[in-house]
Amino acid sequence: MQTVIEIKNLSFAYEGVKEQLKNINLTVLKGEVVVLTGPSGGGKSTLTRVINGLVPYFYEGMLTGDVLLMGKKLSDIPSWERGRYVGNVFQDPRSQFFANEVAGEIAFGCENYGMNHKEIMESVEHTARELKIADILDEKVRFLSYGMRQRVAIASARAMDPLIYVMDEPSANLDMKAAQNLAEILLGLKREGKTIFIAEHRLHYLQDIADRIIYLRDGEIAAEFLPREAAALAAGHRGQLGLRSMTLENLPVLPDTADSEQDALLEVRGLNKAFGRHCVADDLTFSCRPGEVIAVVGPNAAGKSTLGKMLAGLMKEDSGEVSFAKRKLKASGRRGLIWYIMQDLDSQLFGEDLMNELLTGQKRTPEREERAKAILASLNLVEFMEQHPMTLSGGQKQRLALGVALMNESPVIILDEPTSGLDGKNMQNVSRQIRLLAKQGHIILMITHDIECALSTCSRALHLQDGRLADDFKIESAGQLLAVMR
Amino acid sequence: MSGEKAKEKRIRRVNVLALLFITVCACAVSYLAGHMWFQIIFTCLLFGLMAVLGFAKTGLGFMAVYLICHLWLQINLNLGLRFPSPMTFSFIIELVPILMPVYLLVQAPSGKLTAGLRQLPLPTRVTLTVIVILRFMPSVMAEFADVKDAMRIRGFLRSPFQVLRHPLNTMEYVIVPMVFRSLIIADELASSCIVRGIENPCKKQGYYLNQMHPGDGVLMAGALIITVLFAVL
Repeated sequence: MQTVIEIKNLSFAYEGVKEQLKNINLTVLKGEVVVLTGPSGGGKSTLTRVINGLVPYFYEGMLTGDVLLMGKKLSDIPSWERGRYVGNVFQDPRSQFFANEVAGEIAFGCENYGMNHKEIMESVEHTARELKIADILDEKVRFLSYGMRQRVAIASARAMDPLIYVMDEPSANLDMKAAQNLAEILLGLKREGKTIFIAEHRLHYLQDIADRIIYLRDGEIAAEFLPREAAALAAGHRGQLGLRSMTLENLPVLPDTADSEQDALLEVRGLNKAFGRHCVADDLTFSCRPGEVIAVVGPNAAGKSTLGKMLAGLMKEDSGEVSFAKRKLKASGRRGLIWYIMQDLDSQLFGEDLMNELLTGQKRTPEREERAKAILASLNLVEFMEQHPMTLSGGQKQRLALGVALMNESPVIILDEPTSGLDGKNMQNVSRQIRLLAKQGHIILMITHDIECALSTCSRALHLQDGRLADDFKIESAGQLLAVMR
Repeated sequence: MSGEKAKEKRIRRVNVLALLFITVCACAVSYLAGHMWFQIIFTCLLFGLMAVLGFAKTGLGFMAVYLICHLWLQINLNLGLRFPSPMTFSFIIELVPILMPVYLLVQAPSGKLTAGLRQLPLPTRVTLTVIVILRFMPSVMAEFADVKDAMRIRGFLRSPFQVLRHPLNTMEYVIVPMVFRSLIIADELASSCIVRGIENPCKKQGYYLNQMHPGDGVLMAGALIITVLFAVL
C-alpha cells in the first residue's frame, strides 16, 4: 500500500525549550487511521504540527530529520500548498474558525486555492450535504453546539478533499453522542481511503476505527498498540501509562461515602430560566447533602452550564428558589458561597504567581498567607509556587482553580468540564482532589461529558435534557450512566 | 427565531462596502463635526440605520451609553468636577458613533466582507488585517464576558463603588486574562489560516458576491452628503 506520511529520525525543540520530539520514525500508509496518545506534554500536538507543516514554519524551533508527504519533502512544499494534502481539525473550533458563519467557514479553504465562485458554491453545498449540515449554512458558528462546530470544522477541511486528515483532540469538548457522530464521520473518511492522524486522550470512540495506537511519552514513541491490545491493558498498567480507557462498559463505580443521614444543605426548587423562547431550565428541583459529589450530565446545550451559572449567582433565574442551610438566597447572595469554576481556566486566572493567585482580591495577612501555602501543599502545587499560573498544565490549573475556591471557603463548588483535554493520569489527580474536598464536607457538582471521570469521582448523577431534570439517580454501574449519556 | 432570520437576511442584502463607507464617514463626523449637535444627529441617524437593519435593541444600548456620557460630561463641566475624567467621556462620545457601523460590519458574513475588500485596490495584507480585526471582535467580546463572570465570582465586581475605588486593580484583572486569551486565540487562528492556504498568492474569488444595489448607492450618497455638510458647517 502507498506510503502517505514518512517521518525519519525527527527531533524538534521549540525555541528556548527542551526537545519536544526525539528521534521519531514513523510510516503511515494510505487509508490508515493512526491514533497518537500519551500523557499531556508528551509531544502529541507537536507531532501533528510537524505533519501539517506548522512546525517549524509557524511554531519556530530546531528541527532535524525528514518529513515526507506523498514522497515529497514537506520543507519543499510551499506553506499554502500543504493544505491540499493535509486537512486539519483542531481541539477548539472557536479559535479555528475564520468566518463568522457556516458557509463562509467551509468556503474559506476553497477560496484560498483559487476556485471560482461557482466551484466554491458547489463544493460548499456538496460538503454540507455530505456532513448533514446543509440546513445550517447561514447560521452563525458561535451559536452552534460543540458537536455541530466540530462537524463544521471537519467540513471546512473536507471541502478541499485532502488525502490526509490531522486532528488534535477533536472530541475534547464533545458529549458522548457527538463523539459517536464524530466516529461515524471518521469511519466514512476511512472507507474512502483517507489517512487519518488523530492526537487524542479519549480513546473509546476510536475503538472500531483506529488501526494503530501510538503511545508518545517525553517526545518519544514509547509503545505501539493495536486497538484490541489497548483495550486488553490491565487497569493498573493503563493507569501507569496515564491512558484513558478504551472500553467504558466495565469501568468500576465509586462507592458512595457521603453520609446519607445528614440533612440536605443545598436545595433547589422549581428553578426556571429561558432565553427568549428557548427554555434552558425547566422547573429544576433537587437537593444536595454535604460530602456529595454529583455529576451533572446530559447532551451539549441541555442547560448544564446555565444551571451552574444560576446556582453560582452569575445569572438570575426567571423563577424558583435556591436555599443553603434552609436560608433562601438571592443570586447576589449566592456568589462566593457557591463557587463556579468555568471550563476555560485561562479566563479566571489573575495572579502573578500561585500565592498571588490565591490571595488576589484579599487583604494579605500572615494567617492568610499560611492558609494559602497550606492549600497549595494539599493540592500538590507547592513546587510551582513561583510560576505564573498561565504556565501550568491543564490539570495543575484545574487544581489551582479548586485552591481559589478553598481559599474563599466556599462550601459548594461547581466544576464545568474539569477534565476536558486531560490525560488519564491528570484526570485521576483531579478526581482524587475532588473526592478529598467532598470528604471535608464540600458539596461538589461536576458538569461533565467525561464518563471515566464521572465514574471515578461521583456517586450520584443529575441528568438534564432540554433544561429538564430527566433523572436524578445513584450511580450503580457504568452501563447505567452510559445509558443516559449516550 | 424568525426575527433573527429576518434580521440576518436584511444585513446580508447590504453591500459591505456601503457599511465600510459609513464607518469612514462616522470617523469623519465624530472628529470633524463643527458642532456637538451635528454629531448627536449623525448618531441618531446611525441608530435609525441599525433599527432598520434589525438591531434596534443593540442600537438603543449604544444610544444610552452615548447620551449618558454626554449628560455626565455636561454635569462635570458645569460643576467643575474632575472625576471621572471629562477626557474619558469625550473619548467614549467620539467612539460610539464609530462603533455603531462597525457593529453592523461585524454582523455581515465575514466571507462577504472579504469579497467586498477584494473589490478595493488594497494590498492583501491590509485586507487581511481588517478582516482579522473584525473577526477578532466577537471573540474578544465573548472572552470579556467570561472574564467578567470570573471577576464576579472572585468578588472583584461586588459594587460600582469598589470598581471606582480601585480602577487600576479592576483594569489589571480584566487585562491580564484578556491578553493571555487573545494571544492564544490569535496563535490558533493564524495557524488555522496558514494550514488552509491563506498565504496562497493566487487570484481569489469568494462564496459570496458583494453586489451593489440601488439602496446601497442611496445609503452611501446620503452618508457622504451628511458628512460633508456636518464637517464643513
